[in-house]
Amino acid sequence: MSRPSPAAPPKRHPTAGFRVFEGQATIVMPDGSYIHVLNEIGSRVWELLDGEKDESQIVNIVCEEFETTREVAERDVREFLATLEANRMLG
Amino acid sequence: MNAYQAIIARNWKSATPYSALFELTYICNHACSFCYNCPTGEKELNTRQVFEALGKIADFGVLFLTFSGGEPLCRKDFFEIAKEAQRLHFAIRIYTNAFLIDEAMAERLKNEVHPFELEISLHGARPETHEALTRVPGSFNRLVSAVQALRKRDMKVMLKTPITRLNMDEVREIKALAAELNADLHFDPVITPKDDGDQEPLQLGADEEFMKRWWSEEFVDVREEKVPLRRNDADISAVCGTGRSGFALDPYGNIYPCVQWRRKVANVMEISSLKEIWRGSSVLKEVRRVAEEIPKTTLKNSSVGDFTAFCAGVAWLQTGDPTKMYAQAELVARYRKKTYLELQARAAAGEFIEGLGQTFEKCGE
Repeated sequence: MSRPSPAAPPKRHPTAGFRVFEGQATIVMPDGSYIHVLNEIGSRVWELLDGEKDESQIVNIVCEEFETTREVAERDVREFLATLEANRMLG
Repeated sequence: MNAYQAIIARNWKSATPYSALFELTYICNHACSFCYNCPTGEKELNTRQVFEALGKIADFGVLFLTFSGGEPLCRKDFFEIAKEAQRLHFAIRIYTNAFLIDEAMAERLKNEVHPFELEISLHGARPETHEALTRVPGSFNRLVSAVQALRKRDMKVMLKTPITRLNMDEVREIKALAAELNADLHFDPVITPKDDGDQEPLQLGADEEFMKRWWSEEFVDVREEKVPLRRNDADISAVCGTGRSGFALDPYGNIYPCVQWRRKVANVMEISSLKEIWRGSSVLKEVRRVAEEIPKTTLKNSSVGDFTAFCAGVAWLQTGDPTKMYAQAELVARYRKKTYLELQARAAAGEFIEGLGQTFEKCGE
């Protein structure tokens, strides 16, 4: 599965069940029994994947909230989105 | 311990619930002779009220939501409700008898509800056995067709089989049927009383001779628990997750500590949030205290306590005392322990026995 178009803001898969417990997003996808648990930054990015914010806006928020350089945040967010995509968690 | 297990352990410790079971209706298209439901005749929640309840459950942080009944698919507004649950980002599970699931319904469930699992009650490997319990002609073939329709769409199906006097001679065939249908299977050797305490369903329980055989090597190819497992009360001291890891709601909106222990906590329509009652409820405080006491008293004082899957709700229904050992739990534990000790002796003699010494998951874990 691939994202609708390269320009479209990334969005959580609409069928994902999830909650954030003590800062850690716990995600259940309907097509498998595996439960994904994200770390603090991943959980924050997951919350931001509302289909309205583009990748650059997400990077800005990560830079502000986690006091990291833009270069590092860009790399981390890109890698994280690629992982979500590979696990069919974007929609 | 992986990240998910660590979250579960933390939530247990702090009594932060992550699952809820919602009985959407007591209407059912089957007439199972051992059904535990006890409809009161009150008016069930309407669509708007169910939405309100779902909102409160979501606001409280619950992740896993199980729709149960009665038969939840009998509700005309089931898909509306399920879509609302999905909008609220629940991970949805459905308990169903599958009677209404044809190809079209399976397609709708797949595309509109996206449950991560459907649990379907299977009472026998043959129509006459299954239908002796459901008391609905044709229900066996409808179930088989439903499972095929769901599996064809890669939907996860768990078949649940309470072992009864009627099907105890078919367990191997039931296992083969589940394999043929490419579905998971869970046998439950314990039959529970009705919610009002009526003990009649217990008459259907498998007899002691079967239970002895069930835990012996004869059925090692059928049991999911190949080697009898022991309890583990070291990490989490409560006997189960009642009033701790989750809670249950009936079709009238009444909230209970779990599906089995029906001590009313509140009505979801009469509270502004679940947070309002979760810490302060005297019922929940008492239930949690009892659940913590049982491993230290009832199970510690029993010769089979280490092997007992104890349900305080069943104990309460059967004996009037949630801490009192009840016959079924003791019977299962006795044969679980017997086989365990035999295997332990073989291991001591040098045989490698995989899984020996592992522990079982607690109810609600």
